[in-house]
Amino acid sequence: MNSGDNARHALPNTQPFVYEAEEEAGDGIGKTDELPPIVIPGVKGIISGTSGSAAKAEAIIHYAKRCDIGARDRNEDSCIAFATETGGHFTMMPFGLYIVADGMGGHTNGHVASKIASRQAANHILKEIYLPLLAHDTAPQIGIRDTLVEAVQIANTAVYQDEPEVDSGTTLTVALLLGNRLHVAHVGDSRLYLHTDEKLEAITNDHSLVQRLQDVGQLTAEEATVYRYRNVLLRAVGQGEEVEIDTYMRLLPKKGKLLLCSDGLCGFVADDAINNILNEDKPIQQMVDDLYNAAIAANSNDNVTVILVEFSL
Amino acid sequence: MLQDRYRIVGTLGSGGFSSVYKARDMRFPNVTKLCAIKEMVISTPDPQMRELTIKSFEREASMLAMLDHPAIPDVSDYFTEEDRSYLVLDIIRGKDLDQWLEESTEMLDQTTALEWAIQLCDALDHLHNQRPQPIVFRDVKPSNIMLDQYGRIVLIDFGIAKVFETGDKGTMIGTEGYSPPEQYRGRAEPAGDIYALGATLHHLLTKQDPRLEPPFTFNERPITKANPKVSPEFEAIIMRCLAYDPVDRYPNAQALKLALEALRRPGFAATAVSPTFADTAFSAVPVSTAVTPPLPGLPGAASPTINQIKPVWTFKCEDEIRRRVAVANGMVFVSAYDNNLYAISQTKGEFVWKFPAMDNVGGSSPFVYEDNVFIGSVDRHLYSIQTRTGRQNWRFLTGGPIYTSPRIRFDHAFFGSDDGHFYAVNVRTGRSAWKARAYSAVRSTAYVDDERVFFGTEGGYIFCLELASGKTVWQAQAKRNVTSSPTLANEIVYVGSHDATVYALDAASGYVIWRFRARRPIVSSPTVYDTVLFIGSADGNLYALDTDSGRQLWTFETKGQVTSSPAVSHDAVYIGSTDGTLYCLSLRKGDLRWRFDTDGRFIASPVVVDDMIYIGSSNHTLYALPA
Repeated sequence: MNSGDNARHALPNTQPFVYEAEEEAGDGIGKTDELPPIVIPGVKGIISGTSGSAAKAEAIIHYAKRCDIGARDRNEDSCIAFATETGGHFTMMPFGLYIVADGMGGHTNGHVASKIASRQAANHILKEIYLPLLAHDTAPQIGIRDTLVEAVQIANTAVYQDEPEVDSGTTLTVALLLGNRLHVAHVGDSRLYLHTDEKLEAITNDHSLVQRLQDVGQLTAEEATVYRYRNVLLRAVGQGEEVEIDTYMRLLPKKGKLLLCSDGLCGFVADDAINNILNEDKPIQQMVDDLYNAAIAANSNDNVTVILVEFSL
Repeated sequence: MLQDRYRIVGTLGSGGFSSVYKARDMRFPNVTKLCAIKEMVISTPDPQMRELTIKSFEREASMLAMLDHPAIPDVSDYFTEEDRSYLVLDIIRGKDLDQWLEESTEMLDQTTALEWAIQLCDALDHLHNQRPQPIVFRDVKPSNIMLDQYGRIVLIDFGIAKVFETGDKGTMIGTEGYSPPEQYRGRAEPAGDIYALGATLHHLLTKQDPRLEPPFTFNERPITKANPKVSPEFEAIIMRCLAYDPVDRYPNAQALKLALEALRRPGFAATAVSPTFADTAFSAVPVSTAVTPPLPGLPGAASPTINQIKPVWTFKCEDEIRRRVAVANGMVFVSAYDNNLYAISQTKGEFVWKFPAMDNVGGSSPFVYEDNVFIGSVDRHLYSIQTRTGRQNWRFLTGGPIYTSPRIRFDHAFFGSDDGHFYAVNVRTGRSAWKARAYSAVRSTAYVDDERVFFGTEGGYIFCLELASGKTVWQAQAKRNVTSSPTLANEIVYVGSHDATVYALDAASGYVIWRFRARRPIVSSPTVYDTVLFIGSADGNLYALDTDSGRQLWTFETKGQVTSSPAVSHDAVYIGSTDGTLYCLSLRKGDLRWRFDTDGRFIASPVVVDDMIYIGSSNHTLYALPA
């Protein structure tokens, strides 16, 4: 299933499918020269044959971000945002890659871990998914979920091997927007939300002690915000040779927003308050700043990272 | 040398904030009297905090020195030197239960586990009954429990070290896995020791290390599943210890000990444990996780129900039936390898008519649209036949045998042929609307939605064509033949391949979203119900997979190959196997509900209509069974 295969030459990916005019009609009744069109209800005439997605309106994806040191001495969060815009007759499949990593603090070089993890993951995904998209204009036949899991696993190995004597680790939340679909790989307590129709929905589940204690009814959401061990992670990238990774996949609505953030925001600002900010009719950079200010107003004592993606597919 | 008295001769262990040394007590110069010395580092730089820490340590050490119990080592001395505090204890010869876990090859038997648990209860009871304040051990776990040279249990390493720990940001706390939920909120009470004892017993009996699992998930890993020799009553006692809420656990170590002792009595019967124990133990467990997934149904397990399912009727064709039947207009349409398409009455199984093709029609599955039934044949034709009369409307010639079933949308039949083409034929006129090259034989029946057509080829491709024009939208490549027929749900195309893989492809782009590997080729076609995908494999299994991730939810193993496609109705999934059996399984877990055994092989897929199952067999028989 890769290029260079003999079968590939027999069936070139880059050419439109060979369309053959009808030669041998069935030996049924009423043979005529004119082919009857297939009439699709609600569609005028025949859908015109197009190659690729040239006939579709171009998707609009833009983002704004803020990765701020907040109330700390050092910024141990890292983020990467990557989106493509193409023009011309042949538009490209919508592509966006957004990553947030929150390094584990203290003496453990969290800032290094989050940098390594986010960039290693981005590198693998761009290499395996984005570059083939540019080069071949068609689907690379690798599994997207597999690629995302590999990317996080590579990030894990890189952090783990970076300084073996140092117990470093990081959260890692990877959101890939591809076509009209969202693919996610996630470890830790950074979060990804989908905002659509004025509703905010958390896509990821936190791998944190506070979340687990809430799950078993030993802590309320209110207690969680002031809980002493609210920074304790149950899973982190870079803590062992392998890491267990959660994946999520969603078919995206036509319009909406994606919010990625570190717990410097979502650990202090409730979902309702975040939703209220995203419901406003403002430029997204302004919304990102509003989210940051809300975190500071809520006495966030952590680094604050926010990536906000607005899409219209 | 410490205090001019203790000469360190070795190390017994070390943790984050403390170490345990083996030392010689030089107060006895003529003999070698050994002791254990626990050293704790005072990490706080704040002099006031330091003072408090030392005070707290000394208070606890004095209390420990007052203890007198065979399962608790005697504390003979304590002192502080600079930034370290020390506790001097009896040295215990033996090994701790962590070592025991590492070394043992067998599962722990219930008798030994009960013995240890009772001894531990006795020690905890002694600690918890100290006055004025109960002593909470705080750190019950296998590495803190010694098995001494006489086989007795001794608790070592009191959680006193906790006084010296600071909450370090971002790292996991202490003995994650054994500690009760409330301890994470800073509450240390006797009920916490009972939880940790339960956690320790769970680990010892299952050999599943809780430090490698999410916290508080014991109820998701039933003891009896890992170690079937453990009785349900013992499991119920342990699960009650592990209740999230302290009030749901045993009220004290003594009550727990009594419950354990009841199990030890000779002639113990299930009634020896008050049923309320078991009830309470599980009441603290969320319903969703308390129900343990049972093992996939073993064919023998339900033998009493074999053939209790009786066919409502049967119908004998002249050759094998290998394809799904069509049920419509009060009739069942069956294609057999004897060249005939049969129409049989749905309620009674009586012959209505048969239509003879020039060659075998058994490779194609009939499809009914309005008053006509459509069937492909090895004679290279697609036939349109009136359902009422069995008379031919028209036939359409392709360049090769047809082993696919037509799918009809917008008055057009869509199907592939062995001639390496895919056709769209007007069902009114029998004339071609378009014909597209597929480069190799098409034996996969298409999935057709309002705009697109999806199918696989023997050359290993999966195509998406525009329904209106037959032009390609995308193509994806498997490693081997794609004979399986795709299905579409939530804009994902699912299909199996001879390369033993199930593919989930983005319907818009053909991108592979996930892949799932079975052990042998997949000819079976997937069925999606809700968020679960069902598909069979030549490896004999029916797989239930999560549609979003491809994660395996359950499997059911048959004795033959599963080439047929599953049918879902209500809360059951039906699957035929070449072992000659039709299986009825529960949708959620794959438990065997019933089986119907025959002397033939099921290659055909079942169809469920009006609470009846219709399926043909290689023994030429069509069965109508109650669902």
